[in-house]
Amino acid sequence: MRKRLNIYSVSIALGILLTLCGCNKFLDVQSNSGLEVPNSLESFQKLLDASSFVNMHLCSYGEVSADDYFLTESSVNRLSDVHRPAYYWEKYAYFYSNDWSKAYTPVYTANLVLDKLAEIERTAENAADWDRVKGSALFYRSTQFLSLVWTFAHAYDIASSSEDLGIALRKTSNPNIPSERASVAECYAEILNGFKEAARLLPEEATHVMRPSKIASLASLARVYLSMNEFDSAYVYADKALQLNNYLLDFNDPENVSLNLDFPFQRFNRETLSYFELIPSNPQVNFTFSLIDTVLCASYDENDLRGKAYFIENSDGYSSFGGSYTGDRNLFGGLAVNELFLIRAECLARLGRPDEALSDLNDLLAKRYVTGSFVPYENINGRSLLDLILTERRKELVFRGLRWIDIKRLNKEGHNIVLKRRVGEKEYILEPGDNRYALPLPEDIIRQTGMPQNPI
Amino acid sequence: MRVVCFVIVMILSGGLCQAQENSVQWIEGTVLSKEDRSPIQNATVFAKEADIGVSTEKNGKFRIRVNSLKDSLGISSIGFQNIVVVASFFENNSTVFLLADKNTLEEVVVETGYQQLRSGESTGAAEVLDKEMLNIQTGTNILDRLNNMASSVRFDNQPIENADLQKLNISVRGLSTINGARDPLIVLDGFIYEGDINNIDPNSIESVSILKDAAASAIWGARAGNGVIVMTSKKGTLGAESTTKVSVNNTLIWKERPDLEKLYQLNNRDFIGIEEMLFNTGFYDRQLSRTPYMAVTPAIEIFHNRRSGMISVADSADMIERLMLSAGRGQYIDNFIRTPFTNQHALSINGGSGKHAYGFGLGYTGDRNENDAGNRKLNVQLSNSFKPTDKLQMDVLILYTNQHEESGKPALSNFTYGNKTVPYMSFFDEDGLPQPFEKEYRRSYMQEMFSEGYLDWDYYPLVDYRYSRTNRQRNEWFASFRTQYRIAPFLDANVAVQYQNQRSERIILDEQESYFARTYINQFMQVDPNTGATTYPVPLGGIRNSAVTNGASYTLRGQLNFNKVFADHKIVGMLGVEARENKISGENVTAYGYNESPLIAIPVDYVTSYRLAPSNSSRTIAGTPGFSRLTNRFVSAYTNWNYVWKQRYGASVSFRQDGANIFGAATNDRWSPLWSVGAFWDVTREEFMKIDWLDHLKLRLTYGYSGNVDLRKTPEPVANIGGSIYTNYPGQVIGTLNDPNLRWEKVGTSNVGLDFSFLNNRIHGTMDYFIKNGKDLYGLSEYDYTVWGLEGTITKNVARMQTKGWDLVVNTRNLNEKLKWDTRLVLNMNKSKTVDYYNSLNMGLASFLGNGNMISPIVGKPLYALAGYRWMGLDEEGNPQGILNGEPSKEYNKIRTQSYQDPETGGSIRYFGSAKPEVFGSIMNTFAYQNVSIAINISYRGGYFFNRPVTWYNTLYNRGTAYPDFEQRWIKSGDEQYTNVPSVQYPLDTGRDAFYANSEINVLRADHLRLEFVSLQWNPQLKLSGRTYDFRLYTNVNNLGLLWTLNSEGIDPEFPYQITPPRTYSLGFQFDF
Repeated sequence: MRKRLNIYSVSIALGILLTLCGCNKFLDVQSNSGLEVPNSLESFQKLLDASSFVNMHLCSYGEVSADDYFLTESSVNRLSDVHRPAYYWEKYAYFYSNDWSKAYTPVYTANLVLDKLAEIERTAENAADWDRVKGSALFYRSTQFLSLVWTFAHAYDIASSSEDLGIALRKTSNPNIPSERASVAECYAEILNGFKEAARLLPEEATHVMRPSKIASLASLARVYLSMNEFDSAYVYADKALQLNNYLLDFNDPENVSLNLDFPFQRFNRETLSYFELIPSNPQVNFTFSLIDTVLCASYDENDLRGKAYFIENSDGYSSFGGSYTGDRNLFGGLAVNELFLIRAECLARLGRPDEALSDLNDLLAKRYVTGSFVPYENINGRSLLDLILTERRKELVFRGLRWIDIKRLNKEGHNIVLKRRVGEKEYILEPGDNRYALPLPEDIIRQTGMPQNPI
Repeated sequence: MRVVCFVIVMILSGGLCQAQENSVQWIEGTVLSKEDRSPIQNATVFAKEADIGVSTEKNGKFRIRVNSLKDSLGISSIGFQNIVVVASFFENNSTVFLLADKNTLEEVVVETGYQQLRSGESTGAAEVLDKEMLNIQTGTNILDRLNNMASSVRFDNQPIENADLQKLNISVRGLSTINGARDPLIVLDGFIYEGDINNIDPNSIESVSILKDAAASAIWGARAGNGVIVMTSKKGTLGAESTTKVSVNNTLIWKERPDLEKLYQLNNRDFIGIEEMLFNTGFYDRQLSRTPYMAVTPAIEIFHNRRSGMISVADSADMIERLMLSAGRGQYIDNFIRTPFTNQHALSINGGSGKHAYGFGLGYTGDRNENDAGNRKLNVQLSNSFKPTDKLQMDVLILYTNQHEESGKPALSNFTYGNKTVPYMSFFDEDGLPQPFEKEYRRSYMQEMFSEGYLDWDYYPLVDYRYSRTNRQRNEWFASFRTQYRIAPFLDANVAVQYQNQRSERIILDEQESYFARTYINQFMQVDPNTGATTYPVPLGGIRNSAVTNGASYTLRGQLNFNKVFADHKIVGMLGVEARENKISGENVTAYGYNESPLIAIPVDYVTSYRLAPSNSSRTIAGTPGFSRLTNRFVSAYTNWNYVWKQRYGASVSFRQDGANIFGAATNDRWSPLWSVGAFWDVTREEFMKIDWLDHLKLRLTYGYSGNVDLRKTPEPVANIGGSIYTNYPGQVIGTLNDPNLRWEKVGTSNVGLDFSFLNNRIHGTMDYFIKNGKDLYGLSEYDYTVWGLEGTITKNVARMQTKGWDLVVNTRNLNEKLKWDTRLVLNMNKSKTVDYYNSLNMGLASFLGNGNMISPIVGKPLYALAGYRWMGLDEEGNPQGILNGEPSKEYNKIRTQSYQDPETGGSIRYFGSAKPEVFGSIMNTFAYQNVSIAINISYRGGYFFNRPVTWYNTLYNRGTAYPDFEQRWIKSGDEQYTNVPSVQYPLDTGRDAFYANSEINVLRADHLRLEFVSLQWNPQLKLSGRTYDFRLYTNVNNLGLLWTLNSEGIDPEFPYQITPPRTYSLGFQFDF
């Protein structure tokens, strides 16, 4: 009896054990076969190629707050209660949807790809694809982090950045990991790591400028270092990138620039290294509302073709912006060769190499002026050289998503750029070093996560 | 999940190791009922000296260890008188008969699907309907037999709101979810039944248990949140004596023809008057000039021809007069409607002996509805139990269903001219010949412009249905195999396998002669502009669409059952594990140019877009093959233990852990079982409660959780195709955020119940008070969109709701003489409310405008509710007026805005209350004289409101339909004194119709009484050559109509201005021998 019982108990126990050990595998099956759950390199690439969700989500909130444009009083009044205060940097609570939500969408995609990629082994056969997918995901993530940190944090400052509030560095697709704000220093470190790893993994040039490449990663690194006021590194990476591609559009060439059109540039023109657009949903910088700062408009020489190429003069005498490298009303925020020339020139000037700096600047401007009309700059150095390059930088890179961080980083060095808005009789001023340079986070995000809001 | 598995295995092995015995004297015996010699299961046999007790098995057998043959055995079972027998009586395996104890309650056995619990053991709230109760009503659907019989099940008369979440349209104890699945779980013979409920033959069901509270239902875990309905089919029983029972059953059911004339429509004169007004004010100008090919009604055609000079004024007046005489609906009824008829036949043979029992059932149902659509159903049922040794038992059950449905004639609503119903439609011309109908296209125009080369564009209603048929075929297998081994007298091991396969196929065949096929071929036909040659992208021939759905599920289950009595203690428990898969796959294919003989189809180009005649729009040919597959997998471990002391106090506890492939990994890995605890106190077992008139009083108290899942959810991030712009790379984007924490909804139920019986069982029943708290319900939630960003809210387990209520069942025997008069009252009261819900577009009370048949989660309010705009009467021009900022107003859109921006103080809107009955029940009186009995059932529904449908002029103009309020409309100044029905208006103020239809004057009380059925039975015992035969002749009349309603208009609130369910007459007999 005893023996028989034991046989039964053992066999039943074994049977149940066998059934249950298979539990987790048994439950791994996909519930709806009609839906695609991304789990192959091919599907990861598809996620990264969904350009309208990946390449179109750089923050435009910085441009909203910057000084390349102004709004007429009637335009201000047409803005909603949520968008109006943002124009003159007034404290306000805003909610979904916004730059924060949009800019983090590609971060999720990148994280999902990186999380799932960890489950796929890198082999000799798939190495090229594997590297490209990983490099692309890292590139996109760092690109978004950079855009966010430029918008929602103060500029990098070696003295205070380990304390300054940065952004949420989300590095997992698991929605249950809470978001926390990292320090500005941590943010920049993460961004740099991402781009450096991407530069190592990605092919020199991509099959399309909407896909990341090594050049784009190098150019991004130059951007990041410049915004950190670390000019030697910025120089190195700008130089590396320019060695791979230094093609500049000649604005005199009707093949490339159709000056007779409102939007003279072509999408994916040859200067473009990596294609991104700024988020179009902020009405302040929408084509129909925004007018170009009149001082900026007047600063172009008669022979400077950028004046014609960039601006559309309206019947009221003010100008709208038509110079986007998107070729339409949307604002370009990607990487292009002209920006690299200006980065390298600025770095060279700051590193005490004025002749090389001037050479870069002259090369650029020669393509911008009416052929033969440009007289190259000579014998300028020191502060006046830097000021010249910075002026040209501003004139060249209008509405490219760079002005807001430029103001912040230059003010860190004492350039004392003061922003002013006028609405009717009322004038608003933003002094250098104002807390409001770190733009406020959405109110619902603060409520949901308990992350600290940027102080006013 | 692993931890759970390990624990269970340990428990199992531990339990088994203790199941060892020291050999002493063993005796065996059988306990049967004296009355019908049926085996008594779970009778307690107690050896006094040895101080040990056992329970009898299903077949009444027991085996007990005694110290000596002189030991005395006490044998007891609820419902029977106790006896004491000396052990030696059983030396030769004898049988003892117990006498039924007429004074005690008939014992109810609750089948939970995993085990059978007797009322003396159970703490839970369950309602059991036995064969007799199920037989009172007739019909082809088993669930319908619960209607007005069970206290807690409500059958909704309104159409299903969301077919994805709901198929049965019934609820147990009100709602327990907001966005989750709403059907109760159906269990057939111990396994979840995923098939079509119509496949189950009601004649094959022995009993139905409705598990209501957590102690009863929590054992079904994550799918029990909406209640569980457990059905047990008829089977042969293992018994001491070999018996064979044959039962024959026949039922014929007639339904009254629907009285379509009762549906309101405008009379011809008024209708044509309105059409003329519309035509003259230019309502049709745009259509007639821009889309001249679209059908218009005959009257409009005449007006148009008159205006364009094609016919004279006199002729047109003549033609209009002729239209006035048409009575289309009468013609429709004569030609398309018949008396619905159903015949049902069933044969069952059951038998058994000590070692073998079998059951065989055969059922046939034939049905033809009022539109001549047919349905044939064949059910075959086979059950076998073997008991080769005393310890081993094997049960096999096989159910097979074959069902065939064919479409009939078109419904009345099909007959429209360009979607507009007209009262003067006609199926015959003046000479009495069949007349074509202008369904979509205008005949005069099509004949002029699109006749050459095209097939006939006309629709011939009297014959078209012959060429356009839908057939459905359903085959289902449901089989289970169970092996039970008795390891020790108190311990069984049980392994069961269940397999179910349902294949259904729907074929729509439109032959080339059919209107559909001709139109489709015509639309795609291409004419070469140069040569005039025609090509047929949709080839000539029939169009055949077939949709096949295959559902297969299997369950594998291992279970240990424990049942031990020692001294005053009794423990009944079980412990099991289960794996389950349900897979549904489907495919849908359309064939063109289809011909039956020879059997061919012609391939078509699904890719190219063609210009369609006559609209000139571009479209591709529909019908590219489509496929789908859904797989649900569950792994569960469960246990339930009941402990009873002195039959007086009882306690129960249950746990169930579910893992599923629709939950996230975080959920599957976490140990968070659904559980329940319960206790009872049988007060009458106390010495101090020996009161003459009190037979039985038992107090029950339970608490616990069951779950509810949406089987469509997935824990994985799911990608949608697309999202790539400016490049040719294929893109995809995550359209739903993955949530590893996604889990089942939880329904926490507290239940206090009382079972009572007074005055020799003359009054007995149960009463339960319950609170159901739906927690972790699926609902939209704000979240940290830093993690994803594509949506501002996501569905998470965040919403909460609550339902509180009472269930009451009271049976009384009012007369117990030659004439017996019994009354059975069942009543349920339940109030539900939303406790916590996030609404991004919070419209407040304005969400309750409408017909109340949609869940609108507003915190603090019932899930289904009604509100109405404040009504200030008509102005002197017959326009409705509401209130805006305290003033009468006709600014309907502003009133609307105000009512959701400021519902409380704005004064524009008034809240009424629930739109579903908060009280429902029925009272059934049964009178029996000798072997004739008659039962009369009256139902009550109350505590709710309904929205009376009224005429929307916009709908009248476009669709031709209206409601009786039209007759009271404002016509001339001064009418506003007497009526609330706005004047006919054209052009219409936007919002005017909606304001009137949703105003407070149209929200009425819905409380009502309905005479549900009267059923008559003659049940003689026929004695023939020494044997008794059971004969039952029955007749039943169902849906006898409304008796009373609280609204003064006397409108049937469940079917306002609609055809009520037809009165049904059935006649049948049952013969058992």
